[in-house]
Amino acid sequence: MRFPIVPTLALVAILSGGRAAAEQRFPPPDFSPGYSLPVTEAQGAPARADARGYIDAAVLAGALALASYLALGRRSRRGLVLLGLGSLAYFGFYRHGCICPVGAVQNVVLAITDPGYALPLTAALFFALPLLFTLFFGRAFCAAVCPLGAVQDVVLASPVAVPGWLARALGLVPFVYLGAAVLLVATGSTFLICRYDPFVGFFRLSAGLDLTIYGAALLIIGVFVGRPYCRFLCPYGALLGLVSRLSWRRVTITPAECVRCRLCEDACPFGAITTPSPETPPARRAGKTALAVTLLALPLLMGLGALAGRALSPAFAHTHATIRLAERVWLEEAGEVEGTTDQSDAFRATGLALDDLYLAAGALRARFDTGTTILGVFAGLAAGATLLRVSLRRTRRDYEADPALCLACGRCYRYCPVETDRGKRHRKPREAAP
Amino acid sequence: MNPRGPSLFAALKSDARAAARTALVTGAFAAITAAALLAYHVRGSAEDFIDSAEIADLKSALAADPDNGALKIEIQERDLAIRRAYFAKLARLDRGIYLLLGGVLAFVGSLAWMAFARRAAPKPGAAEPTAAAEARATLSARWSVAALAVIAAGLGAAWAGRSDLAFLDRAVQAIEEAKAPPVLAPPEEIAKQWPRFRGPGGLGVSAYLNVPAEWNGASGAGILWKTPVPISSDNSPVVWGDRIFLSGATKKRREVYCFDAATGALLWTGKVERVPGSKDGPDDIMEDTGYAAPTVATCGRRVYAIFANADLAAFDFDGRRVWARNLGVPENNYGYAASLLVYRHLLIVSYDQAKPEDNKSRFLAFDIRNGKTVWDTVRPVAASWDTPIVITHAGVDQLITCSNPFVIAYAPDTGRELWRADCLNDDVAPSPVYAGGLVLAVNTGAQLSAIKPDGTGDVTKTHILWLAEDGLPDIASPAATDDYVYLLTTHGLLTCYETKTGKLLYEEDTDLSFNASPSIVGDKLYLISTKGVAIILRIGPTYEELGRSELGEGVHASPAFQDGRIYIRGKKHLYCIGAR
Amino acid sequence: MSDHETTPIPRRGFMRAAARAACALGIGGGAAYLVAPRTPGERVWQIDPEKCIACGNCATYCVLRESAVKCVHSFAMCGYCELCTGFFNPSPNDLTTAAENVLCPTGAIVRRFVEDPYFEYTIDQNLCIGCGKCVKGCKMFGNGSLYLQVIHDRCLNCNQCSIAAACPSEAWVRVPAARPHLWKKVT
Repeated sequence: MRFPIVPTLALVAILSGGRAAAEQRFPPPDFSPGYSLPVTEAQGAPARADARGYIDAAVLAGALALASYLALGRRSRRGLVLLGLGSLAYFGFYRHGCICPVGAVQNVVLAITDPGYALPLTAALFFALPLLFTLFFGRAFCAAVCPLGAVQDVVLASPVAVPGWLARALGLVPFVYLGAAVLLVATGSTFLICRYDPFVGFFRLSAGLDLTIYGAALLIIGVFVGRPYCRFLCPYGALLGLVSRLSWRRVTITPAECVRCRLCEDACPFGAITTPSPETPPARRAGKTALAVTLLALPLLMGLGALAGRALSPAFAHTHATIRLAERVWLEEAGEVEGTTDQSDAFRATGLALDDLYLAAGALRARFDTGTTILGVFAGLAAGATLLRVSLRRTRRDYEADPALCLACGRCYRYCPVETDRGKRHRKPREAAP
Repeated sequence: MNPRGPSLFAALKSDARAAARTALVTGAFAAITAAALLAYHVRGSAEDFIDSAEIADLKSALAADPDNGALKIEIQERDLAIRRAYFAKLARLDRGIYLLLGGVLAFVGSLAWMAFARRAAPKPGAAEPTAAAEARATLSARWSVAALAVIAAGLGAAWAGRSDLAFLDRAVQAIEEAKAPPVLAPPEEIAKQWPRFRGPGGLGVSAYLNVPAEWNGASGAGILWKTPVPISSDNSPVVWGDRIFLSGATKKRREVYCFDAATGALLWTGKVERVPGSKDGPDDIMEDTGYAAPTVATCGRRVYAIFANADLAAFDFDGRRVWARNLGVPENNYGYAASLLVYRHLLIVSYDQAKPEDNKSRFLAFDIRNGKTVWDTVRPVAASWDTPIVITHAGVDQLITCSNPFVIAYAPDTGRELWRADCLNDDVAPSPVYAGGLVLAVNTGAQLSAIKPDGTGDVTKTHILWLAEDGLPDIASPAATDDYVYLLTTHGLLTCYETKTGKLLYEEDTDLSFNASPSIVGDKLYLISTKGVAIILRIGPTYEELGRSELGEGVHASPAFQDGRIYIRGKKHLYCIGAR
Repeated sequence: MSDHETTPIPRRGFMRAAARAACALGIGGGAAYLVAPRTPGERVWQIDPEKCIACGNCATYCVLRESAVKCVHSFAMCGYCELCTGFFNPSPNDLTTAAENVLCPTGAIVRRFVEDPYFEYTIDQNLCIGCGKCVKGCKMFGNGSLYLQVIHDRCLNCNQCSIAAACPSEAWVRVPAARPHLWKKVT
């Protein structure tokens, strides 16, 4: 008999009816002595050690400390540039941009919302360390540790100023992005920030077409607009911006007393330098009215946000695999679509009840309804807060770095004559320039 | 200090044009590399290689011609070539990406050089900030936030507009409904309607006595309306209130129709398509049976239909499909023909097939709310074409089923067998009836058996009250009153027995042929021939014809009787007979 | 006249310090809380072979140009069939390793005669691209001893695995890095 197994095959195929995982249809043979079973491929490979993650976390902590020292102590732009390139090389190209603090937000949220998920220590450190450093020393992380920031800093060749009003509005986007990312993690949909990380494809030297175009577009914009992702998209940057308002020490343009020479006015490619208040203050009454109106409008904005968020619930819900699966299966059952998909086939093969799938989808929808409403309120609050900040006047006497916008890159240092002066006094005098 | 340092510095600083030229060249290089890489990237994907259509075609060609040596060689060569091309592409992509990376780095470097060369000493603006400028900035910031909100709202609306979760509402609603007690029409309401094949009890008995006894299809006399039915099939009309339901099918199309009883207008067509697991066909059925021989059934809220390919579907009264499933095509040499019946919240389906020893025949009951199987009873019988009935005898509901070789009674709510009698043979198509406290089961090749339905177990020897062997029908079901049983053969022989004793009262050859089952309206018996000739005769111990009416169109389906009306499905049209 | 002058600086500084301390405590404490009570080890992606339907996405969705997923073989489960349905086409022309008979698009399965009538099948990991064709064949008609696993010296362990996002059967799970494989056991 040439094909002794063929009839058996047909029989087995009929009897098994699909669900037959790990079924011993053909008993393993009893070999004559001398044959030893080979080892399963990759079984001999050593387990992935945790050490790698701890090294990364240690490198992160070291880089943060160094960046803080370079930004605040040495006030060295060159040092920050070199550190940034080093971070780009290590966290970016060597470690392939994963895991990064920007994405670690999601791991933290997942650990809060999914009891089955254990937060790895590395992820916790990647999330917390930059925030803690920012709390004490300003955004040194953004300056020279974040590979996403570094790659944009590298391409920033001829910056043009983004008008303040536009930057103000676009500055809201990271908050909405953060809120959406949290919502999608909390509902178990996806890690939005990681999926749409624009530069991770460059770090891996491999990306899909869509992300390549997205990343390339950001880099091309980044030649002219300083760090577009950091300022107008980065959800972790939104958190750092909030935290940096409280920071203990932070980058100052001048190491000593500002002489108001105005030389640094155009120094910042990120629009973080605030000018002194005008000598003649505007009418106080008008300002107060605007402030009161904005305050009153805040609940209205939040309410509108809630309505808008609730209306987006089905759209957000469709990002969840279970909702999409339930819809697909329902459409198949209702005869509204032709054929089946891998997803629906896999679901049917599990033998689980359709009703349970629909009920699970229903429960998820309820979570999305709540979540999108909260997201809407949050977006309304963020918009209101921006309007409030616009309406609040605070007297500034000097040219200062706005704590929320300053990325501690140190570009402004050399524009300051006080700094130059101090530098001359500190260093040995060089031979006179021709 | 290196004396060349400052001079190189100065040279770089001074030559902004060289920087610009470098930037241009490196930028062009990077752009061309990127474009080439992109074009290369999109040309052919991994799927083309893994699931090569070319290799698949060649392999199936080889399957058809297994000894073609040249083909084998061709497969081997093409396989190797495709594999090589794919991995060569990967390797080239790898190299290309480093090339691109280098180009981009050079470009960025030259941009930085350009910026460095062009950098001028900071020149402070002319004016100190003024209050007016600050106020303007504040205002424009407010407007920009508002504009952003509007843009976001627009984008959000565009995004939200593409997705809704209406399916989930319906799915969850169906689940809730299945948890709640079923909404059922009261028995007295069901008795007024015509909810299944041969009326409320499946006995072919009209609840109304005022139905017409005379009409003429040619002149239109006595015909309220007639309306074409899209697909001609032999299933019978079912009526609930002002709606009439029919089904029709071909090998590829399966449809349920709802007509308006007042005007005959086709209200909706429910297409039964894309049912999970469903296949078109089957190929090998008798043309006379067709693809939609089973009559639909209704519970008063929904209508249920089954077809030759065992697609079973439920539609609500507005034509929306509520659920559908496929039972798998039964082994049935003429084509599936048993009609549906609704008992309380159960849709009972005869799924008899193959031969008794195959153990494939089953009766199934589905929850009318969601189509889930409630009970499933295997039967030791052959394929059958008759429709079961539910009777109430001595306060107990019994589901009476007929097939070669048994009449079996089940408890309709559980599918548990109550009794069986071995009294049938061959291909059973006439449905059982119940009259005078007796179950009457008949088929050609066997006999007419009057069974007392109060036994348990095998009652063949104990509960068959009488047997008769004359005029046994092969398609039409019997009609019976407490006093008389009528059998009608396909060739037009009408035979009348006494119900209580089985005494042969008369035989009458009508010289017509019949597929439709006889119906009882008060003291009249209605017979409709395959040519559309209706004979109305007096129920009694002798043959007494009261009249004949011609529809002018062939009829294979049994009529439905309502208040003052008869609905008859012809081969092409649905007729409403009644007084204006 | 302005806020700057009327607000006492020391109080403001104190408030900021307090807020800062609260923030630091919140961030540090929160992170510690989330880590402490659970096993804090690293997590890596892996495929649950019982859920895997061998759809083929693993070969095409990985961010690496050559997927980190490859086929492995639990030899103890294998029937050593002469007609291996993971190796051969559904109805092979002949039981040889020629291209017209075999499933694997890269010829990554090595078929070796052991003793009559048994053949040993090993995976050449350098050639395997993780398409799962053999897995499907073995699962459908055989013992299911061929299955897909993430090979961890290739996997970048992305925070959001692209294949996991595309997996139709929710077979991708995060497992402790200390035990990064989900081997099939002989039943």
